[in-house]
Amino acid sequence: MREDALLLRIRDNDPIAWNDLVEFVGDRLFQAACRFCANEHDAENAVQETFYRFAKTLSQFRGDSSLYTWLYGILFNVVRQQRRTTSWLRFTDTLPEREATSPDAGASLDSETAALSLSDALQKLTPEHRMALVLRYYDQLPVLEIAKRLGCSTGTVKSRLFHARQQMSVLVPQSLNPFAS
Amino acid sequence: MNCKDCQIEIPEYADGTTSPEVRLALESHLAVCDACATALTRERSAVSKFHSLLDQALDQQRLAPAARGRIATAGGSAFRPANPCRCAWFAPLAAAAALLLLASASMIVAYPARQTAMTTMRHPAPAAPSNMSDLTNALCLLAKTSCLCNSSENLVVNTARRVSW
Repeated sequence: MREDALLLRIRDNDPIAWNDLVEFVGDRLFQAACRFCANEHDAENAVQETFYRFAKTLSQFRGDSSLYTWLYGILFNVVRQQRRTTSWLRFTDTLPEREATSPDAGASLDSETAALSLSDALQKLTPEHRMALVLRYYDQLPVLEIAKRLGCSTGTVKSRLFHARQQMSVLVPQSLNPFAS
Repeated sequence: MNCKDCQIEIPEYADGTTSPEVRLALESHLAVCDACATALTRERSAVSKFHSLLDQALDQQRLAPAARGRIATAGGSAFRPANPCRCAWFAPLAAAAALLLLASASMIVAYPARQTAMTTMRHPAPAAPSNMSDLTNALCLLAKTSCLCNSSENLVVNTARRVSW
């Protein structure tokens, strides 16, 4: 209901409506962008481009899906295109300084550290591996659907998933690794 | 099937979309390889673990205030609301243009036919040269009856050649 009212205000060219839209869905989109992007700067840019494209194509939005789902679809395309057109920064150079986690120190780490460790490791993957991993294990998509979304073969997806899991097993302490036993 | 091939196939096997041949080979391997059997178990449990850990890691991520303003401005500046005034005059104008086009087209179609009929009544059609093909003859005849100009014959012959090519 709040979505409908917000969209109505946007269509009526209410100057504050865009700020409210960013308040309403901006953080969730930013978190989704962080899952796909190597750093926060890229994620912010992706969200900004998403809102820009949404504004351009607002007339096509019929309300068949939720506003977030629609925006998430735009965001995914933005991230895919960013991956093609920009030279991505080396992720290790841009990561915030955090306490190093060694595989044998894993047992003493709590779940927050595990989460940060996973997030850091994810940012160290190549964009292709990261996207495959997120679509598979976060969005819970089957291999066939991932291949469609990424525009590649199922063989490529399976190979990317295999190598991404291999890298994660090196980057994340074994006791915290969701891909470890 | 070796362990690497097996582990590459595991996600698709977990989806239940593997081909029968691959499934058979994979199940044979899984029956004798504990490491790969464990990998299959991990594949099934990884989803919930990965999801919850990543949610936890990114839960505190918020757009910076400056970025919020920039994003809202980007959206607002790109948005162009539908203009009802433009729609109001566009429909009648389009209808008038369509009518004008239709009238022009019907005149273009009707005029040569009428001219031909009138010319045929005044001047009987001359005989076509015998060394031309049927198509050339027909075009030549048409040109003579409609234009009343013998010099058009060369043009017609050339046109007929081009058409036949």
